[in-house]
Amino acid sequence: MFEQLKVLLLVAIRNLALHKVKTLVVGGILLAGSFLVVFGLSLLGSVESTMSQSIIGSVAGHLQVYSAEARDDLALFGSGFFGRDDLGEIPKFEDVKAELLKNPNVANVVPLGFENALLARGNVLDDLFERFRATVKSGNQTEIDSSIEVVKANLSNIRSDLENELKISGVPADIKKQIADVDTALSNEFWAKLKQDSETSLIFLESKIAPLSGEKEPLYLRYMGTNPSQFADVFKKFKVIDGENIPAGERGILLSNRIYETQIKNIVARGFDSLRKGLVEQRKTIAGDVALKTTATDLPKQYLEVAVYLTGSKRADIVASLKSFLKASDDNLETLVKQFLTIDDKNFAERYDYFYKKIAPEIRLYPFKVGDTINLRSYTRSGYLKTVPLKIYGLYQFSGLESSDLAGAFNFVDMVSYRELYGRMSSEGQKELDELRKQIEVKAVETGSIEDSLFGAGAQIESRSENKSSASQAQQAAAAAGGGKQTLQFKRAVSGKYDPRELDSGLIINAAVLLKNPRLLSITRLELESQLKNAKLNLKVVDWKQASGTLGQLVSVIRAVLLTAVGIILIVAMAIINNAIMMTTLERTREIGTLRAIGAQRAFVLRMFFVETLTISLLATLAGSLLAVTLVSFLGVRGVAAPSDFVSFLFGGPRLYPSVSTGLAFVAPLIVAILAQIFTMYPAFMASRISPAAAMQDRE
Amino acid sequence: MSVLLQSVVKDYPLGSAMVRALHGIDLKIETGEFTTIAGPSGCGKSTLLNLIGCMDVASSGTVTIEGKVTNSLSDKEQTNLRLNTLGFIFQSFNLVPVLSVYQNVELPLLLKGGMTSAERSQRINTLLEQVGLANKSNNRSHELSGGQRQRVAIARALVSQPKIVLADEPTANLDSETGKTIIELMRTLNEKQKTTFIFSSHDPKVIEHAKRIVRLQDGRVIEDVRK
Repeated sequence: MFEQLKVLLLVAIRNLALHKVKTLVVGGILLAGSFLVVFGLSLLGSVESTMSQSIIGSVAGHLQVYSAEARDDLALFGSGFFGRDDLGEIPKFEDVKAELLKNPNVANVVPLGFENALLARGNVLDDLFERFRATVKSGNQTEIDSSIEVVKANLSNIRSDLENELKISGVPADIKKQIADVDTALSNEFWAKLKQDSETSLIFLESKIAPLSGEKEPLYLRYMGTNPSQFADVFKKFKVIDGENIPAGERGILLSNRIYETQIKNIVARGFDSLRKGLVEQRKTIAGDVALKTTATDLPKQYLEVAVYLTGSKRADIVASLKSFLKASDDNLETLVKQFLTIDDKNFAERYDYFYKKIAPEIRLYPFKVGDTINLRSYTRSGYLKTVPLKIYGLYQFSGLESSDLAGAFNFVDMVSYRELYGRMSSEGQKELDELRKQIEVKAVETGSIEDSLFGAGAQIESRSENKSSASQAQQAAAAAGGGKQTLQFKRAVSGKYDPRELDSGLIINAAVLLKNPRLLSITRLELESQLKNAKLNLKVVDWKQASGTLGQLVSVIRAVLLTAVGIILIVAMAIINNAIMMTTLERTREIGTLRAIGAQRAFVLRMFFVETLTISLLATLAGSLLAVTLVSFLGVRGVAAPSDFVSFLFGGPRLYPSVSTGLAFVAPLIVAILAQIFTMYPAFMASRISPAAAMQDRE
Repeated sequence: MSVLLQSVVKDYPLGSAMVRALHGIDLKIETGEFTTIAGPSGCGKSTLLNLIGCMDVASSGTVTIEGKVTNSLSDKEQTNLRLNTLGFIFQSFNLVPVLSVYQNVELPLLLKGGMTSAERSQRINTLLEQVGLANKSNNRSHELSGGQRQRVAIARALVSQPKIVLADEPTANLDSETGKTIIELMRTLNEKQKTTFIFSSHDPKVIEHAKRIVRLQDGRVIEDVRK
């Protein structure tokens, strides 16, 4: 038997060598197929593993629980559509948590809820006049005189901008009026008056002039309510890098460092940062990259964002320093700053250094810092705008995902403040409201009859609120019942503390479930579903992939595309193998007939073809697999750089270090080889049917 | 008795009609005979050899090889009969092109099994010496002349020590001188080993070397002479 196999192998190898072209084509396709499977799936497997770590380790946990009544699917990293997802709500987190923790594989349940807030930002002139007011009130005459010069310089700039606008405007009357206002502010009488009645002049500047530089777009902040200390304990990638985490029992916000650096920071500094990233880290050029070119072109237009901060003695110092740095003769700060901000590939490095050494310390780099309080504005569920002042306790980031917008997409607030922005009241707020109600002797109004009692029968203001946010409606009712007097508007006692236990009781939107053994994820998910069902809690349990929205499906989609491509390659390969063996069978009819004539059984002929296919397919696919393993191992040491911030999230950091699945390296070639065997069956069977009499056919 | 044919008829389909290649052949060949089946092309020589060689089945009548009636044998049994009892020499030599001389001769022994490599080697080398190719054992068939190739084929036919060797026009692709040597070689081996040789030929020079001549015409035996 062994001797027979030897001769089969010998015939196979000799035949493969004889038909070189056919062998190379078939072998090449099989090699490519096997390489693609092993390389592609190894890479995807690595990405899936790093991505799952990114997703699980940042906000998702292993499983997410949310209301079964949700009209939209939970998408932690965005559903890809604008607007507010309807995820329903979990009214009593404490019940859900208790139920989930009964499962032996559940380690932790973290309350969550996310929402978008608006953060209003003052414009450049607002900042300027705010500081000017402080200077005027300080009474320091030298400082005041210097500041007046800065204000005048800015007014002149605005005037020339308005002149330009007048030329193209469709409503010249409005602009003429604005120019007249600026002229008033530029007149000597105006400044003489400042000395006598500073308040009138300051108000004129703040109310008439400041709006002329345009309102800055409000900043959209995505925030997530949670139990801050529990969140930090459970999600190990979470790190507070400045300040401290929001203490238990305190209201506050923790800003994403990524958002702080890329959206909140001074726009000129951001311009320098993004140029540095492109030029130094990604080795692109301004001349060669459209995005960088746009950034560089926009930079000089932002000169005011630097110039307005340079008042008093700072101004003279910077003018002198910039003059020598730029070797310029001009004495005008604005012109010098514009010139300084004109960046190209050659001058970038020194200007970047100069900016951060000389200019940055003199300007306000961030509009608010750790320790400041910001007003977070959000629409409640019943549709009215709610503002909650929150102290910034610190900045956080996720380790390894520092440069990812996805991982840094959220700012964290305590769950109690979240509920307030959502339109729910803390128990403390509820008490206060009851107190107010007593004071103004408001009557309790039935939820269903609010509209009638406010606007008369038939009116409709909000159809979706029902009893879910009765507190907020009661609040509206309270305000309305008070005769709409501004003085009676409800004012939140935001500085107050709350009982830390409130974090874990009451309304949440969703909850992250962390497992002790993540391998049992699918089983635990099913167990939890039936557990919750039995406990009459109408909730959905989804895994991290589903919970992360389109992002989680990404790898599955790429894998499907890859496997389809490999499938097509394999089908082509199999068709070629089938065809090649059919041809061979025809060519070798006499040889096969001879073998049959001298005593070879049909099985021998079958085996001959199988050994031949097996030889080529194993050699080719193992070579392909080996090639893939070598390449992946090489990349595993060297790392693959993430081409974008988005990809860095998938890679779990700036570089991906892929690893080969050993099983895959063997199984993939084996599967391809088996497939090849299957496709050899028919032609081999045909060959085995060749009559021994074919040996007699005289075709030399 | 080596071969016994009784009223053997063979019909072939040709389009929708049937063509009769053999019309009731009766033939008896004894062990150790050196017989030629002679006749012009298309007289049924190859058909007859195919039937004796278990490569085809008679339409009627019986073919008995070494006491076995072949008509009713399964494909596997026929193959075993070819492997163990018969040896074949073909007009076009039919060596396996990718194998060496030695490996071609070894092939039937490997198919048969049951011999050690040393036993095989001894038998093959003896045979290659007898056919005068001891020094060519590592060559491939395309490196040999036609005569040499046919010697390899003879060695291959004899290596499993068959009772009967069938040769279909063994000299047709050789020049007359080489053809003569090949026939002489076959005859020598026939005398030495007492193997039955049956070969077909239409070449008178070759036919004259046979001890018995069976002449066919239009699928019938028209002459059967022993010298």
